[in-house]
Amino acid sequence: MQSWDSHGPILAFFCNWAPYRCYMDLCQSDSAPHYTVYPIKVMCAGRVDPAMVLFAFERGAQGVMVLGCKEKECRYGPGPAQAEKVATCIRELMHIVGLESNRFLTLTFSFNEKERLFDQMNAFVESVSGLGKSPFASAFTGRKPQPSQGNA
Amino acid sequence: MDQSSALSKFIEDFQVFHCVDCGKCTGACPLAQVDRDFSPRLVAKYAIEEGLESEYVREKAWTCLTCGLCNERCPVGISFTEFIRAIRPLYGKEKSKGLLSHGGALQGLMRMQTAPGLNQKRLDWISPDLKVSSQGEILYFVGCLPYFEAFFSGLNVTLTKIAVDTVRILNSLGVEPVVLQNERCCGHDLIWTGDRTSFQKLRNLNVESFKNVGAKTIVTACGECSYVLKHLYPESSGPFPFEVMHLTEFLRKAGLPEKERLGGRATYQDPCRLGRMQGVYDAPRELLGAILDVREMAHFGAGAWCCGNSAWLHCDRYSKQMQVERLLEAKRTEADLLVTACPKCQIHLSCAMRDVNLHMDLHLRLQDITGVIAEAIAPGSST
Repeated sequence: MQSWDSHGPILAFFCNWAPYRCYMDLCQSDSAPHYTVYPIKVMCAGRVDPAMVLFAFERGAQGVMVLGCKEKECRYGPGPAQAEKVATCIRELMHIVGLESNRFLTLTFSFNEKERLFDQMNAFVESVSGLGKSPFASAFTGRKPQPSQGNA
Repeated sequence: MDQSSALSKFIEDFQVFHCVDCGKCTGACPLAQVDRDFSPRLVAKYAIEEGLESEYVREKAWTCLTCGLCNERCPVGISFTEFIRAIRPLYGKEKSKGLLSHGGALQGLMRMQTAPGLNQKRLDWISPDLKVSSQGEILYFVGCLPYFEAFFSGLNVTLTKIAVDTVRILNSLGVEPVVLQNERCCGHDLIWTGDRTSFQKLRNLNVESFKNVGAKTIVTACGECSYVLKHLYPESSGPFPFEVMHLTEFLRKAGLPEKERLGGRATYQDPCRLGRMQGVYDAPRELLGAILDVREMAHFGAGAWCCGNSAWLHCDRYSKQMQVERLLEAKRTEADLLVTACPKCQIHLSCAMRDVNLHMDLHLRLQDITGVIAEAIAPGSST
């Protein structure tokens, strides 16, 4: 199991509705999610703006996920489209600053996809660990994570 | 030195206590025209009387545009903007009332560039017809154009065209400028938002790479970059043995190759960092005057109004109002082209043109001065 000390955290922005519901379901099931992923709940994936993601990288995050609802299931309407627009901007900026594009991932979920969420989170942690340290890893001064006992 | 004695030192250094309470700064301040609460005179007054604890200073030190118009008007010669630049770092993160525009994303990007082992891909704009070299005496400092273009993609401003045109202009003079793959931000926005540590890091990394390529002259096409490289880099610790010129100054010295006179009327927006802070007023006007019919706005040269914002701080309704005023002023000259020499002026004014209610009243073709010159040198090629 990794610790934040060696690799820095991986952040996941969860939309309050479908993705966070999947995450809660996952936490209460037998297959607990990877606890190196630090969950942040937002009201909508469209709420995540470039500053949030860039700040995470600047302060030493190894990877960032933005998890939203499916296009037609958004509670507010334009959320997924807005999230995609922001993601395009972030990917372009990451390319220029020289960060690997695999460190940033956007995904959409329905309410009943906890298994898919589990697989995707693990796959993301795997792929990010394979990339090694980010150029900004030295900026990370956070605390060690508390070991989770099944339920996060 | 604690913060209040640092403040007293700055008050003494910038001779703020010489203030004669005449209020000319407030009368001239473009922000005070729209925000009745803002007054440079009162900032000076409360800074002397109450120090950093003053609620007024704490708030207004951050809303100031730092455009420098007050410095021009002050009869006793107080450099108010320099005073603001000095006191901003005294407000630590917790005390600061500075509201960073776009959630601070742009300052974040600049701080990211302080990481030493960075492998940026900031030269994607170079097309095969542009001649650049990796070693040489003349260096072209591109600045944050690729970042801004990606960030403001919604505004449809093609900022890397400034870089393309600059290289094209330099090539036409037989100069093959050095461009750096791992150039860093000049640090303007960080030092003006009070982050001296990151500024120093960026400066050191930049100076190191200037030395490595053997540069002697640094040319920029951005008012802010040239101001920072010319005035703030030599001021900070470490030697800075380079000559810095804005492209317009360089062209004035080197002379332009054959150019054509384009038809049309244009007006010129003086960027504060190029005009008031470096005194470059004539060079861009001479260049433009040889190409287009230049008409001046009501406020021009040393009295030019700000494009509404600087260092990505406090973009609010007052900024918008100032930008609308400025665009209306440009419209009144009956020019059909507004020329700027700073990418940020272009971003801010393009943003203001999207005003829902005033859209057609404000619409004006906006171009960087490099675009105009490149078009005159080789008509049709830069469009």
